[in-house]
Amino acid sequence: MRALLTVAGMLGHGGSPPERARVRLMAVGAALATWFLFGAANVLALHGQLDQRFGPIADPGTRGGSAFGIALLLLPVAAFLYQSGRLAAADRERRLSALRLAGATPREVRVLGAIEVTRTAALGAVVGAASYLLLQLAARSLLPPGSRADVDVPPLWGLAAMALVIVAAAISGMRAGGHVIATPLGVTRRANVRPPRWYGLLLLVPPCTIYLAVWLLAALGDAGFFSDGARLLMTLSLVLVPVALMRSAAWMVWFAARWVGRRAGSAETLLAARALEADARPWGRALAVVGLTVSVGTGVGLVEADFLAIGRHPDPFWVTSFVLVSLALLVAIVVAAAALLVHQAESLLERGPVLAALRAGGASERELRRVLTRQGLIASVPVCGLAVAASLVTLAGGVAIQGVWSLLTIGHSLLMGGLGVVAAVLVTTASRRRLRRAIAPERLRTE
Amino acid sequence: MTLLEARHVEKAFGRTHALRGVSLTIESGETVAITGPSGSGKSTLLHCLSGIMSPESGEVHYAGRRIDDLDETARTRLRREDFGIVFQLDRLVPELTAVENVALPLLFAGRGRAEATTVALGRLDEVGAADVAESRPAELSGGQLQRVAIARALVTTPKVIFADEPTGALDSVAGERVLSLLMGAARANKATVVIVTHDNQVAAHADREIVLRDGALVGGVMA
Amino acid sequence: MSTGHILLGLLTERPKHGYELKREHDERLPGARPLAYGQVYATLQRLERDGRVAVAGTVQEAGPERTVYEITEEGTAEVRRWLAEVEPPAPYVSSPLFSRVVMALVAEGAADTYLLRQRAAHLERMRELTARKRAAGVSVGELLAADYALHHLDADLRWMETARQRIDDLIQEIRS
Repeated sequence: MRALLTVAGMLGHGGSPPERARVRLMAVGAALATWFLFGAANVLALHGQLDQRFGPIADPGTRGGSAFGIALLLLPVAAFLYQSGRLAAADRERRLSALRLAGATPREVRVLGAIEVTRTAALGAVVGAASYLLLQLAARSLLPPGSRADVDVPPLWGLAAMALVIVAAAISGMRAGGHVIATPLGVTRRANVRPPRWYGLLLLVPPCTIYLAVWLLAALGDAGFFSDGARLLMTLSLVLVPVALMRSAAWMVWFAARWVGRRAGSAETLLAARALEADARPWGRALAVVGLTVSVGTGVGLVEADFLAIGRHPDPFWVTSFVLVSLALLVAIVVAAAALLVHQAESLLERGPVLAALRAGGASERELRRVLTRQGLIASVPVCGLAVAASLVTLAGGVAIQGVWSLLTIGHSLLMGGLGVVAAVLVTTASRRRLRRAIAPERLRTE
Repeated sequence: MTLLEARHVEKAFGRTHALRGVSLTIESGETVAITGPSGSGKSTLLHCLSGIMSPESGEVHYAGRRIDDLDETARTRLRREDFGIVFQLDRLVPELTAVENVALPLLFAGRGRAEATTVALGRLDEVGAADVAESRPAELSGGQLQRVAIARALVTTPKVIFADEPTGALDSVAGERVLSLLMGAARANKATVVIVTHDNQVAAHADREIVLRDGALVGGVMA
Repeated sequence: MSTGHILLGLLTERPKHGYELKREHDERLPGARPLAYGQVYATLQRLERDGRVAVAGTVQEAGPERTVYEITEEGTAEVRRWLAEVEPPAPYVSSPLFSRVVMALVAEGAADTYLLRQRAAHLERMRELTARKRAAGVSVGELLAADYALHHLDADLRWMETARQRIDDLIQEIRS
């Protein structure tokens, strides 16, 4: 074991630039995860009633939900971590499998890989914890002395959170390399021929049926006599909407890509659709988070519109809550977009020679850029569209009684959906420089 | 008639000089092999002649027009309309079927999908690869891949076909078959061919040889 | 290898007369020097003396009467034995090409221009052979012969490139 640690130390200094980028990105992901877990722990550590301006964390009753909300931000971070772990995975496998030729057993190689990712994850967790505590120190100096909000993250919880992050990030990092198979003599890519499953969509059936039925009953004038049990069932079925969206995002991306690919009339659309069809899972993972934010955002919009509809002046509790939730949704979209960005970088790295050959054959850089943009559109429009539709259908009963204010709910939902699409397209625009590098004539050189 | 001409073309990558003042002319309809040991700058010369990159100094003329100082848009159009390019293996788009790969240049040129597909199928048939039209590159053998690549280079009926080690990874019999196809198709379309190769037997398929050494021409320029 | 073995090999198919054997020899081994009829006749007589072929009869086609020979059991055994041997891998360093390069170095101190001229000549010959392979209705024998020549010319060219690099290195070494 000591010898392995020595080798791991030696390996730590090497690696190609994309590999070093992977280490940095994974550390950032682990740091973010630590942040959110610390935040959740911090909320749970609060005692008693606080000033209403603290919003959802002021009241002991809503703290559990708030902590859960913060913890939900781990979802986009997980997507980001996984995508980062795939970056230059082929390089990593090649480097590690070269050790096999030097006499390492497959088990030793796996252990070395585990040491590498664990080291990265630990670095991220420590940086995350340290920066959180520093920022907390700064924030607490702003609080009035003796404030009840002045609490630490319980040390044991903090350590547990860090351990959780390290273990989860390490496992994710190890699994992320699964699409390449390494032997001592080389690395091959495993083609994932199995298209994503569609079963996730079935989860949309109960909430949509229930709410459409309720809506219909309301239209017939039979509303208002639901038992508590029925109301509970309705609320529970609501939870299925985001779950369904997340479970089926990859399938939707794949299906939309196939549909568009068959009908594509232009080279750009054809290339975009076919590339997406072969690569639906990573897009699905990131867009699942976007779908989740759209459906949560629609719910928030409904509550907001309710307030305005009944003409009540919202108190500080609600204002803070709305702001915090919107902030969390924004963070989730940004992190999901970052995951897509990392994926885009990896795929440009890998497809460089093919794209360079297309350019050499007479495709302009602008056209190839359009391929990327269309990829973003084909992937995000169906996922965001369905998220908006499913959310609005299930909330239709609530929306219907809002009168003119329902426009606010619908607008909010569309805004969230639009934001998801814009984020996906922006990611492709951000990859411009990488595309230019990928198609540089130097990439054509074979000698 | 002179179709392609390089005048004192120089190109460097960082500190290494890939080309040091190369001048040559290529006549319309001839087939030329650019040979030389690896690192001699032959691929770079092909990239400069085909407008994929611009030389640092010197001029490249095509059909009486200077092309090295054109902007990227104009050079892209030139490559799309007048040139066809064949690379080594693995440069086809992996997610597209063979026929879609071949149709791609036509689609980029703004032709409709149905029309592009018909033309592409015709070209695949011409190179004896009609039976693999619906296969994806991963399912094809090296020889089949190169046939598809040749069909793709021919699909726009280019005036010049550039080929960079077109038989690179093929065994000699498969390589010869692919090369004969390329030459035959080029002759049938009255296209000029410029092949970069390190293989003397490939060079023997061309009318003329241009030998590069350390980025400069040596002998072989006489027709 | 001898002409006798080739004639025996051709006779394994069926009995043939002398003129037929000459024609088939020239057709199937297009790269080889054509056989003189006298040589065929002499060889057949020697083979008959050794009991490897026997006269099977005569035929009269458009021209004169011809003697048909057939292979004997002993002859068949001899062909088998011959095919089971390998050709000794000859060191071809006695080639005139090699001598010229060495002499160019001795007499002129450089072989570069000679090598380039020789390269052009080699490639010209390779182009002819390649064109011949492309011709319509080319036989397998002709293809194999052209391949054989092409590979040997190719080997010469590769050796010439190596020689050029070695001489370059040597000159660099002397200069520095």
